[in-house]
Amino acid sequence: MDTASSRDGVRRPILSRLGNPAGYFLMAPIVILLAGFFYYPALRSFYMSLFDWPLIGNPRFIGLGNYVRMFGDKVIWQAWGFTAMWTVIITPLCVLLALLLALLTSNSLRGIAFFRSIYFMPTVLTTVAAGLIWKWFFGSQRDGLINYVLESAGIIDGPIGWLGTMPWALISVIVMGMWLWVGLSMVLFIGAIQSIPVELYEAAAIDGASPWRRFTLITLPMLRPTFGLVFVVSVIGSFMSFPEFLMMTNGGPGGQTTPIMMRIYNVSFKSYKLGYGAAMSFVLMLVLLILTIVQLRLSRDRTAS
Amino acid sequence: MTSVALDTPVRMGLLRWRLHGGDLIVYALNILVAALFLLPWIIAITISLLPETALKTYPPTIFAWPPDFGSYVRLLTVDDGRFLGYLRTSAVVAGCTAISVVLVSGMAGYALSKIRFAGRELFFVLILGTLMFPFTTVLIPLFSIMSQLKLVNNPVSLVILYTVVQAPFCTFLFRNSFSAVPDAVRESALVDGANEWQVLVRVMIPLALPALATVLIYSFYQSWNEFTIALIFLTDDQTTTVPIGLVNLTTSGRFASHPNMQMAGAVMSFLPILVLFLLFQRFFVSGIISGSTKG
Repeated sequence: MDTASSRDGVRRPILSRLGNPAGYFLMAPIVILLAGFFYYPALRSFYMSLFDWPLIGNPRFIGLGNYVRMFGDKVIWQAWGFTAMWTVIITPLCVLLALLLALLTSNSLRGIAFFRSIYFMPTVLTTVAAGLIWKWFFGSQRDGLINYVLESAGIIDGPIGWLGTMPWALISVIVMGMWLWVGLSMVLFIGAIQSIPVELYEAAAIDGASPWRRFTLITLPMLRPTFGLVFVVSVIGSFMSFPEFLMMTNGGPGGQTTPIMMRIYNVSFKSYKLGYGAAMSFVLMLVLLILTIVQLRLSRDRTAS
Repeated sequence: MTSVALDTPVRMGLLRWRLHGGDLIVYALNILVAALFLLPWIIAITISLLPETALKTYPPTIFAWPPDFGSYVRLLTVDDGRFLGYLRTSAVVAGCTAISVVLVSGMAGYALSKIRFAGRELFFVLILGTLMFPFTTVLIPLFSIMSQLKLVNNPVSLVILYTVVQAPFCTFLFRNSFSAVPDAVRESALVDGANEWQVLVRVMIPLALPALATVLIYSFYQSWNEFTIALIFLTDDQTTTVPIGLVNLTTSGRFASHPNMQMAGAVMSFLPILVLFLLFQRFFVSGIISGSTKG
């Protein structure tokens, strides 16, 4: 209708140039929600980070004081360091296991879908329940299930204090984390494997390529974009880890397994230093944004070349 | 929509061998790994059915016959049904969020796919842009905003925030689904005198039922399981959701040294979602796939 009137050379009034007003009515709820509860707080997060902002009482402007303080705060550095270490360890492990499970289950064998469901099932579980279960598995006493099994098998002499000592605390959470999250990446891989044209494999088979060569020459290259995606999803997920550690180690021993999200939570909602917490979460937001952009760039470059 | 269903076989992969021996290896590996993956579920259930007397034994007891449902009874009746209260809050929050997400993202998805208006592309970018920033990084300002709105300790705050978290992705899902519906369908409905709202509810949504199911299920189970936001915005133990209530009861609370009670709590927290999953597997997965491959 609009295009017709402009074609006739009639000047359109501003209102009709905006198009169908129904569009704005339908968009209104999501726009209001995102503006009020996402974009405004994101900006306010930076504003608050410039203040000494207690829960009760008046905020005091301190400029970049919170950021300066963060740089000198050993506890915060420890949390960043641990978060980085946790991410660097669990991401490749998770991606590798996800790929293996995807390969084990993307074939036409009878009943294979059953296994796929089993590997995916933990992802629908709440982290709290998973934490309760695994915390019990990793009981530190002699009667802890894993300790008992290892001791009976003669692998260890005495009980390991799984959740209370390093590096066992980290290892315990890694085991739980992989069980809990691997299904997500696995499904992404299965989706990608499924979309590889069957003709490629048929042609390769006719040329006499072995299954291994078909895997390295067809499957892996075709999965490259998926690797990028899975890495981004896993890295963001592990940077956001918090309930996993709250349930399993409670950040211990001595703060050694405290990820940055847990530190932000403690600073903001236990010590009620909201300005300081805001500064930390603002930095976290920037770090994640940079990581995401870098990773997407990397995976895109590789597919392009 | 690319749909990968867990319950239909995929035709291609590395391990597609004609040899029977190869198939056996694949099965053997799968059985081994699946057993490991199932173990935590099974043991959680068997521990929850242990009688109190079997708790502190050496070697540890993991199974007892006959099953003792005492832990469930006790959990459901503790403090005049405190746990039932958690279940109720979680169900109400997850149900309301699912409905609200369908409304908000269905409307936006329809506008973005079928209606022409100025700034449509910009709106789309702003909505997708939120997916780049993890929501947890804006929680601190949100806490002071919710305090001013007097919504802290009110489940309404969770419904609002979960909708904010989930609506962008679900808008994207609906938009893709509605885009697949031919424009002519909408236009003939408009010619017949329907308004845009009626087109959305009576024409578009019935033609996009898989998307509707995906959004409803995704939204419900994400809200049911969510931890961090609930921890911050529902600090009052009496009105909180299952995950937070479970932490309160088990880690510092009175069931700290009662694995059977802890496991009973875990089982009750996952049972509704597990049933949903076993019934509607393909919708759990289709959400993840369509969100990622086109994102």
